Amino acid sequence: MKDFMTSFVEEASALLSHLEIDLLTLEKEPENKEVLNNIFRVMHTLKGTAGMCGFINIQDLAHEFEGIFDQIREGKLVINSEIIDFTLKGKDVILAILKNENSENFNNALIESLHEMSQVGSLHEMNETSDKPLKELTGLSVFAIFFSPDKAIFERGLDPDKTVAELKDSGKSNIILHENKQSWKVQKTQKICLTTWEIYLSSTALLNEIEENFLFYEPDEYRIYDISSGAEQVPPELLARLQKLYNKPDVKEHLRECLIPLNVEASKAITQLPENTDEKLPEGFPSNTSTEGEMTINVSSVKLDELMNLVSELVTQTAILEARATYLKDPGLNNAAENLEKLTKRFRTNALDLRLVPVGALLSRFKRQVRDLSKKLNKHVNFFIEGQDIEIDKTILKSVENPLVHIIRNSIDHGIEFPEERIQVGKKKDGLLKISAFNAGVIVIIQVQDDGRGIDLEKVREAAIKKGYIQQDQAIMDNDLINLILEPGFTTSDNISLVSGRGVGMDVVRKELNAVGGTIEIFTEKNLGTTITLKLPTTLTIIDTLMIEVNQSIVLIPMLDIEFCYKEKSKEILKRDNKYIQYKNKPIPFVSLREKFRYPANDANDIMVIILNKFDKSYAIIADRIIGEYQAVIKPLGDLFNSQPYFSGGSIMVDGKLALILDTSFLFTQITKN
Amino acid sequence: MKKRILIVEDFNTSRQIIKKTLESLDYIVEEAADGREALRFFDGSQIDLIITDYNMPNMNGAELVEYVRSQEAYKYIPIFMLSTETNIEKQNRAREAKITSWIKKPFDVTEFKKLVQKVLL
Repeated sequence: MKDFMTSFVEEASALLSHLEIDLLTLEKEPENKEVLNNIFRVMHTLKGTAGMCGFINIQDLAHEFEGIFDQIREGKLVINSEIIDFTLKGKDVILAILKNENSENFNNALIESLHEMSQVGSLHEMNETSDKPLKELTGLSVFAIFFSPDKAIFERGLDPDKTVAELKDSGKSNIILHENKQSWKVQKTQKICLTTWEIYLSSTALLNEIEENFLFYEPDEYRIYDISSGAEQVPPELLARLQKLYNKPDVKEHLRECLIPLNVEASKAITQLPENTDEKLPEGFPSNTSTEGEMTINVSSVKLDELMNLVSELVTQTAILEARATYLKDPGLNNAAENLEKLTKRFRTNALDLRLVPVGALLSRFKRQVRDLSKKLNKHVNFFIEGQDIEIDKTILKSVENPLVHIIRNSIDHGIEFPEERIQVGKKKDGLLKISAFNAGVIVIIQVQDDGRGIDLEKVREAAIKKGYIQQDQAIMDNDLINLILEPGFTTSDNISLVSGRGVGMDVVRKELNAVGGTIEIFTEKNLGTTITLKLPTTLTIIDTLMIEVNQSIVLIPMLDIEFCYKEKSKEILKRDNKYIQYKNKPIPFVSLREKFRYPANDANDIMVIILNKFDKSYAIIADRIIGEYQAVIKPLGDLFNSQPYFSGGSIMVDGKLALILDTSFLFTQITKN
Repeated sequence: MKKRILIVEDFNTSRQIIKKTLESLDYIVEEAADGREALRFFDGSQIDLIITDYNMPNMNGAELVEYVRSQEAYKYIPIFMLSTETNIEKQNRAREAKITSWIKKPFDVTEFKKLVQKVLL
């Protein structure tokens, strides 16, 4: 990939220097069709390759420019010095990104350019949309929601995250978190809520439907304004706040989306208001905090790793100290040890937090790409994202960005058919594209599914023969055949489209994934679609587990797999020969962990039955005791334990002890085999 | 994982009505006739929601809520108080004990289902 990037940088730099000359020529000779076509082609080429090399910024910029020059070619826009000006500026920005120059400068320049562009761009946007019914543009309501739950909200059995997530689901939203003192995540683990949410939501829902989300909250814990109902309905301090946000470069792009559906008077009122210099939330809005803009800094991952190691050490040492303090019975020392332990716990939570980000941060970025691409290719695509809250190590998430970009492009370009074609084969007009993320034991799975035409295995076969991967009459399993498209230089597309690149494809995707220890699997069925599964092992993941005890060892079971647990007062079932129990009137197989691990039988009367669900089938395991829920930080077990299949990982608990994570899939295959 | 709901109510008929309503939504439903009887469910087993009456023999609803909120494992689970009680003082006492919502009896079945589904989402 590195070589590929270097060659792209070289190639693009050359294109850009020509571009400058062409632009200046065009300014003098606006009628010069050849030069105009050259410029258009440069933008088109840049767009096509930039995204694939991970330069999403360049891709976006080039996309905008391409649109504008297309308009000029078709005579819908007239060249003026303004257009030339910002195209030149845009060229400088692209060059700066390529040379990786001071990021702050180019970021500002980029935003400036995009801003300028959007003003000109709005010209062609208008042309495009003017024949649509007005309702489509203004049919949405826009709500401003201020949500500040009580400090002790968790003790009322409520979770603000759920409420916010529900709001998120009801439309497009911009959510600004005003945390206070600690990050919301830390607050959440400590069950104290000091955070205020400022939410802008554009949705087809009605005001009372939005209010329903706050059913369990007291009236002073939230405030909802319908800001699309006209400027006069919006309190002046809120207008001022919107104006303030609108002018802030870092939130503008998000907020813009929300503000577009505002009706004209309201948006006029907003943009015409004098600038408010006050940073705080306007008076009269519920707030838990003085607002501080969230600031981010980049830290090298080496430093983070070092920090994590130190934290693990600290946890162990604290446990030793505590044991010593208990032994010495010195109240002063005891007290100090206890305090240290509490601090260590908080420190640990905080440190873990640093590395993990929800996949939603990346996945939601694809919305725009899917929209643009499907529009460009005249395809109708319904795009869904599932499992946005699944958290993954930031480095790993970053490394799947390019592979996902590529996979999504392939799906839309090659997978999903044109609407007419879909109707002909009896499918719905709109294609389906879904990205879902979920935890499976110690790995995170990201799946991209489409319901398109699938990969044509015959074509793959032909191409494989042509390229010499297989012999003319060689018998090969479908599964092996499909995996050939992951080989370097393999492509089947008849006419290589600009969208999906030039045969540089799935092999790069696989390489990138392998580099972070991930794998890729392709499953395809003719006319039904393609599913691509990325499995991403992480060296550092947190999953929710149920902590159980078997012969005084601690075993963790991923919460995701658990269906139900109950206490069995009699050990009669253990003596059964057939190893089946009744659950929901069906016999399901069970396994006693004591027996499995060859521990001696114990004399306690009670046993715990834990019903697991794997691949839609149930089975039960039997343990001594359930200890409780536990958020486990998973570490690989290392070479010494790699040969045993029962446990997929381990976790160091707060007391320094080791807990093993049960591989529920392996156990399942074993039970069903017998 | 299937959600498990505990109903605490001394009057058998209304307990059965609530139980049937909730079972139709595919929840696992456990029953207790008063606060004291409910205590045996807090032994480490999974409870996702408690729906309790206020006036009951032995241990009333507010006392039960106070007990639940004092248990580390159950401190943060939602609790609905379902009652015909209109006495503001009692309502306030329940709120102070940190209930999630106060539902007035008799309740509208659709509305009630919606509340339960929402809180267990």
